[in-house]
Amino acid sequence: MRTELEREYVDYVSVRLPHLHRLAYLLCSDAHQADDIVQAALTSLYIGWKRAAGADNLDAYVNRIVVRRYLDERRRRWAKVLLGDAVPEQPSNDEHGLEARDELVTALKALPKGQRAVLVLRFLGDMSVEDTADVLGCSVGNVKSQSSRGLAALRSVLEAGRIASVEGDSRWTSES
Amino acid sequence: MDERELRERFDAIGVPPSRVHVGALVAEGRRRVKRRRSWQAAGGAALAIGGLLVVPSVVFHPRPGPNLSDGVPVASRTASAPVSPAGSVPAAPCVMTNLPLPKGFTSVSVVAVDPTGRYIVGNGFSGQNFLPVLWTDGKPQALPMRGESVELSAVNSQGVVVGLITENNKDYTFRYQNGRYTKLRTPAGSWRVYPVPEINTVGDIVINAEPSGNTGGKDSIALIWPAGATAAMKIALPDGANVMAITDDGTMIGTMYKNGGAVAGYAWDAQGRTHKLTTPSGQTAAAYAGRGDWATGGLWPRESAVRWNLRTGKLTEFKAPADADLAPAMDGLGPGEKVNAKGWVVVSGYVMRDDGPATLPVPTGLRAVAKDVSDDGLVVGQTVNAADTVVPRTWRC
Repeated sequence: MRTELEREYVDYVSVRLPHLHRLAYLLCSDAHQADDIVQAALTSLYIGWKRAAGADNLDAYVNRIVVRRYLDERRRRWAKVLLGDAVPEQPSNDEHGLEARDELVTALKALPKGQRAVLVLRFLGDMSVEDTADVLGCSVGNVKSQSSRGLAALRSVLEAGRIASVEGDSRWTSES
Repeated sequence: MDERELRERFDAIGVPPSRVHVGALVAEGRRRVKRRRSWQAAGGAALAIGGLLVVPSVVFHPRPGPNLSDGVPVASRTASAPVSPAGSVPAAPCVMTNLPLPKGFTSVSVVAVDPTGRYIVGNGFSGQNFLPVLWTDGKPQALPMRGESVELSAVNSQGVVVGLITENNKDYTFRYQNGRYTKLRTPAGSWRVYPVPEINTVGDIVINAEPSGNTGGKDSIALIWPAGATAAMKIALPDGANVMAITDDGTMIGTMYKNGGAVAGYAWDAQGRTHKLTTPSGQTAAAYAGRGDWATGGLWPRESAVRWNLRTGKLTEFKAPADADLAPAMDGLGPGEKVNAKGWVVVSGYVMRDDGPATLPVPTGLRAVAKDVSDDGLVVGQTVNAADTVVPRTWRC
């Protein structure tokens, strides 16, 4: 039944790919890094598909792989920086022309990494406080406080962005 | 901003396009599995998922003779591709010819050939997206782009091309004919079409669809666009029936799935009769392609390629060549992907005939990978080197 397994994998991944890409992108704010994370995570999912397909909550399981990959990636990049290979953490993505249009992305990027990760995992990844804590390797209390601080910060950044966009280029006027 | 609003906003964020494509993931996954296998030597850890990504792209041709193609003149052939008489099994080895790339392309993956060998389709890549390429008489042409990605899957002997256009992450079946794309509509509701469309000589197009958001073919329906139509008709088939090909007499070849697993191959003929294809006891089967009197697919757990004779019901099982580079932990070649009117089966890059695998000669250091074969024995595919560089080729057998 291995071919059937592969078909299942293809079907599952085809449907979930946009969501996982979004998750990775919002975690790292970099289109190429997001692709690398998704590629690595889903390749490892392929190898372990038979086991994974039997998971109680497959979506949560796969979200978790993506997040772990993101954390690995960060560690790897950090190591690179230490070695003197200057890899910018948040390279400009102006060539995509997409994120500039979304004030939420801009606001997210302005958040400390911990807060950003917590918000993305909880509200895009639909992970519980406990799961978020588990995958990020911190306490439940930490997730809760990061979450509320992140939300507050996001709110204030969005308010400020709103004012700036109204005063600035009218093309970027927000919808709401 | 409350949590609910944040959730909605996250879902609505426009993110840059992803370069990750499921086909590339599968290819990479297989490579990784293979590497593991070689590292683990005879360890035998059963963590490998082998097998084939089966994207059957059968093309069809009228039977019995070559002159029934609806008044369309029989195509002239490329000078480099002499025709062997239909029905003969040549003793000479097949002769390789290079398929040139359209200008600006660095790599194209060949997908299918029409039954006459005149038309060949393939896909180039740009990031995660497909770029459509059509060869006519050996001459390459980059077809115009629509949406983010245009993936070709099959072409018939009239040069009608079918495939999937991806627009805003949604796949649409299309027909490309006389330089024009026609989007083929699905029934009311939100559907995801899969795996890829197939077409027969008259131009009937088939595919399956599942409600958007479902996976693994759950609640799927089979669709047909009769030649020239743009609105789909739902094919009246039992739950779990997936159609993978349509032959020139309107017989649909496919597989019944139960709880996400293939149970048996089927032929549903134009008169509405159901023919279950022979499945040896203790095995399950899936049929993925068909042409003329033949259907092909695979058996599990045996993992072997099989061919069914649709007239006699006879089942033929193909053994893996002794030197076959089998997917990890695979005992057999995996399921047949294509079959021509002579019953030659394309499986795992091989062309299996009754007298064994066709010998596809390649320059030193390269490996031949067959993708499809025309009725008169034009094998289309590619060569691959150790660095996985792909070069489109044909072999006249």
